[in-house]
Amino acid sequence: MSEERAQTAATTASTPAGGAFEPYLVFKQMEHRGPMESEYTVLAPNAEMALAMAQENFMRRQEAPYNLMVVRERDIVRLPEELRQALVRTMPRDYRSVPAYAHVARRWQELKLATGDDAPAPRR
Amino acid sequence: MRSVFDLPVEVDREDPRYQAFLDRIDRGEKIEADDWMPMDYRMQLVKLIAMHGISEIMGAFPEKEWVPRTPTLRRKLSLMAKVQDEVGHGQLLIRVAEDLIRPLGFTRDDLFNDLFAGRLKFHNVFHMPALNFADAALIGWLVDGAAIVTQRMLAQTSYAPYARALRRILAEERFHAFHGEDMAQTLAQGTPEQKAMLQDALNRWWDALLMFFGPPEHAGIKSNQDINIRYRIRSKTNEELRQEWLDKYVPQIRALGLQVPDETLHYDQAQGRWVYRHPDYSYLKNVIARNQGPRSQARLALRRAAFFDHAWVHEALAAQPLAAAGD
Ligand SMILES: [Fe+2]
Ligand SMILES: [Fe+2]
Repeated sequence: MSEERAQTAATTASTPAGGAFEPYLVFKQMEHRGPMESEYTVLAPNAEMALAMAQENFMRRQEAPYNLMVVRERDIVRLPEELRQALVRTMPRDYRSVPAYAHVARRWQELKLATGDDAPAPRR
Repeated sequence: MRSVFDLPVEVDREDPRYQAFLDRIDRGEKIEADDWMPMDYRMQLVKLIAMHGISEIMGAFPEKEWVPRTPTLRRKLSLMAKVQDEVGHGQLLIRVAEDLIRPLGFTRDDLFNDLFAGRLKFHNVFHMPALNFADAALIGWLVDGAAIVTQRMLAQTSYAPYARALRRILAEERFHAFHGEDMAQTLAQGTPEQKAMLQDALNRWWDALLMFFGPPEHAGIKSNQDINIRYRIRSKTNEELRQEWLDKYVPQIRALGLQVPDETLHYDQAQGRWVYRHPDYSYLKNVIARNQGPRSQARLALRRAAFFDHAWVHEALAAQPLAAAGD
């Protein structure tokens, strides 16, 4: 978060309860087990109102989500830009990945041919 | 000490919400943490998911013992990564269990107390000793293999938060299976002594592996299979899962030139199933469930030590809350 944004958030946070409208992020979920997608923001005095406003926005459309979620923006903590480079992998992690073990599947095939495997066809 | 497992499990089947709940289950809908659910559904989930989560952590103990003694850097990295994953699975699952018991006024601390008090069980295979490196290989190969068969079925469960966690877990388990198979193949194709080690490990682990899936339906042992199937928490019986595991692993065991320590084991083409000697399932109830298995108490002691010796980390973190961005 930039200095300026952090400052704004801090100011909002210190506003006494009652009367302070704050931005809320609205997420929609199109089907159960589907992802929560960030959609737009609303300015609301509390979470209940934010949810009502989010719902209102959707009620005007044909699109019918399965569920909605709101999160007060200042409750979201993001990685600041300068720290995002820590997400870039520099050490190889291939030993954790399936393709790194392709030789295992190959060896099963060779071994099973050699022993004349009479196993049942896999069910499922 | 109070325990969530001591709560009365009362279900009012006349409650209109109960019928609505059953209808949702029958329609194949998924239940979320904040949806209404009958108490027996909730408690079956708590038992299952808490046991699963705790077992992931208890399973990391016998495996991590072998990290320092694992040959080659690559294999060491691989085993370390797997142990990390297992502890991560424990964390995901305990969170799911915790959300189920919170409305009842319980927390994860209560679950750990239940573990120490012997009220919360962990899987039978993690009560077993890991004597040598072949045991570490066998755990990755056959124990993870058994877990994957069970988890693949449970990923279809009616409880959505559990299904989501399992989806993530299964993606990681794919590497665990290969990691274990790689070690098993290497030992079996190594020196005669290495191959003999693996055979010896198989002999010692065979009964525990079969027991992992629990008693078959008509073994006269009370189980929760029926209610779990009614609520679509699970979709297959213990025996169906055991058969699936045999389908995959008996051919692998044979391909490695190893012997299953059961001369009666064979595939019955007419019945379309494996015929084999059942282990003594009463061992699960009389020994494992009482934490009287070969390593039960030692593993619980490790868990206790991990919990209490590192309590200062929790306390230090709690005493110094990190300033959230924007504060
Ligand atoms: Fe796991
Ligand atoms: Fe695993």
